[in-house]
Amino acid sequence: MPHENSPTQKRAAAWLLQRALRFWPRESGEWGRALAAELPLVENSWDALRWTVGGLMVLTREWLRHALDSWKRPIGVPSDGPLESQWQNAPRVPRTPRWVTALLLLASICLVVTPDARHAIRAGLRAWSPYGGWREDTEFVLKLQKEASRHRDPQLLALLALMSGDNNEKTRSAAEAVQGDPSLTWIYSMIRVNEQPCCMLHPPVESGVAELEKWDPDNAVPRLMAAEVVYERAEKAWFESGGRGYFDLEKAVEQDPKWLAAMDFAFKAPKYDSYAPRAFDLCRAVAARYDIREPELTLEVMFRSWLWESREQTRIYDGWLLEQGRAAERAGKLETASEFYWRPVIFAEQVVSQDLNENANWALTYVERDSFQKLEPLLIKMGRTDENEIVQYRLASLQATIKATRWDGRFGSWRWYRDGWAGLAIRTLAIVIPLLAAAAFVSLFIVLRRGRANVESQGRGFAKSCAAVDFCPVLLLIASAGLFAAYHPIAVTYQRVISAPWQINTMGDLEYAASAPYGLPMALGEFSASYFNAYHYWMAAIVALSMLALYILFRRAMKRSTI
Amino acid sequence: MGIRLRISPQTLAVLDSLLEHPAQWRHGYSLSQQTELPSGTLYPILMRLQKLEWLETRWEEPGNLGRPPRHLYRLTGEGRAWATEELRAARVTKIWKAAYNGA
Repeated sequence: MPHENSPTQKRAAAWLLQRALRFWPRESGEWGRALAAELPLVENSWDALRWTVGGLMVLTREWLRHALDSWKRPIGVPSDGPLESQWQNAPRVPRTPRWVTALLLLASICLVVTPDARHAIRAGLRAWSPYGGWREDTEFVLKLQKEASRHRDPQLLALLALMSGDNNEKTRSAAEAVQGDPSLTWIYSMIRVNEQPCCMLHPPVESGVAELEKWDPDNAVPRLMAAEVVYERAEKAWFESGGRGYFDLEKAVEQDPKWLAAMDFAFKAPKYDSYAPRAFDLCRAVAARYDIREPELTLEVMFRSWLWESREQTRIYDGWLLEQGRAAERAGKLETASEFYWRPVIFAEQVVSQDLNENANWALTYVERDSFQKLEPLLIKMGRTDENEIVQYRLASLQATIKATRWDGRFGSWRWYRDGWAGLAIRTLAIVIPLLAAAAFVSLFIVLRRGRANVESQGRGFAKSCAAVDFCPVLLLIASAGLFAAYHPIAVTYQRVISAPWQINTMGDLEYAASAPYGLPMALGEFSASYFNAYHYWMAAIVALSMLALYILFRRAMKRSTI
Repeated sequence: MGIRLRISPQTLAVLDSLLEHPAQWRHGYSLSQQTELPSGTLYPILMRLQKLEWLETRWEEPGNLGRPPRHLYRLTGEGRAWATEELRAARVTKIWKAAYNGA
């Protein structure tokens, strides 16, 4: 085209416009060629350059318009591909404009990557297996162990000592934590090793109890633990001698002066502190410091600090006190008998008023009731009617409490069912979301890859992929929003408890946050607890696969018969 | 067609130029010279007019020209009626005339 005597600018303009034509969108390519065709007739070389610059501006505008328009077409339907003319009516192409698909996927990703949703998925997946206690292979536990080995943070070490399943690691971490921060000595009250039949007869544990007694001398809890050590020593000897006559074991313990002294001190101690609030504060501090959002950590601490290991010692000593009271009553020493009967009541009231441990409170309700039942006739006999009236009132109150909170034989605790629908939603969506995400991205890949191919060579799965491209992003967004909506209130509750600047006096919110993903609606939960075990899962899987195989064989047989 | 044409002074200038000899086919460069519009402004206007089916286009017969065939333009019947009406309205409201005269 260009003339031989064209100046440099004109040649450059022509060269530039020719190159630009390569990038012109196909649907408006004619206009690019029209612009280029005028260039040889532009007389002035600077005008030619201006003409080219204008052409480049038109190209930019057209290219942007083409890019924007492409978002209006479904994924896999190119502007110049073979499907372009078909997608309006053909059943085998996606129908959703790609900007809608992109927006849906982007919104889903934004929801799923939030810390709440990520944790909800992890918790939901874990919740499919029954809560089996502390799992040392879970991500956040491994993270804590790594942090502990790096920083040797006393609080973190104390928490790991509390949670570890390894006896040596447990006692070593506890000792190191206390060495680093002596205010953590209370951790010894929760250190028990996993050895049968005893969990206190481990030298570091025994020495920990002794240290705890020195550290908190007015507290009943270390004394109860000291009594536990004595009891376990007797129990070990009893096991080794054949383990016959449990009643004799109790009698032997009751005659041990060390045990009696420890229990006597515990029942008279001015203070009862199970250190549960300290354990929760420790848990909160560690969770905040290391950004642990898993309420399971708190749930585990809650379980461990609420076990009330002193139940057995209290029961035996309570029985012994009542027996002493009866003996005194038989001997006519009514005043002494009333003192023996009152002692369990005083101890129980002290524990109930000073400690939040529900298990202890519940068990001590029975201890108190038994004492009042003994006191009632004794006080009448002694003529202390005013005192007896108070006892009668309190006895009626305790019996009403026992009736109201009696376990009704259902599986598990009512707590697991309280937020059942949220739990069911979380655990279901935790499975559905990864499946939908996988289906969406695989189908997108297939449609993008085969969209440009001829209809005949697209394969059998293409139509299904097109349907998946249309439906999966919508379903994914709904599922993600559902998961977020179901879990967000739980996460907010947990975060508020964890970050509260004051001491938490009720465990209800923590319990809600930790146990909600494990919840199931009442009917489903009972059914699951009754019938869903590994055997039933296995049988159900075999039956389902067999039915699927039969269905496939039946369809094949029907096809052959029609041919 | 769902496409709205922005009646700018530049568009009115192109319409006026095309209406000068409505039956005659015009080239892009000559339109540019007459309206003093650069190619980056002229061609988007022509493209929009064509989309609205108010402008018909064709390519020059390929002959022994020594250059590529040029793209030719003229208004359709409907386009002429519309352009005449738009120019009349613009002259009444003095929107276009003032702009054009000032150019």
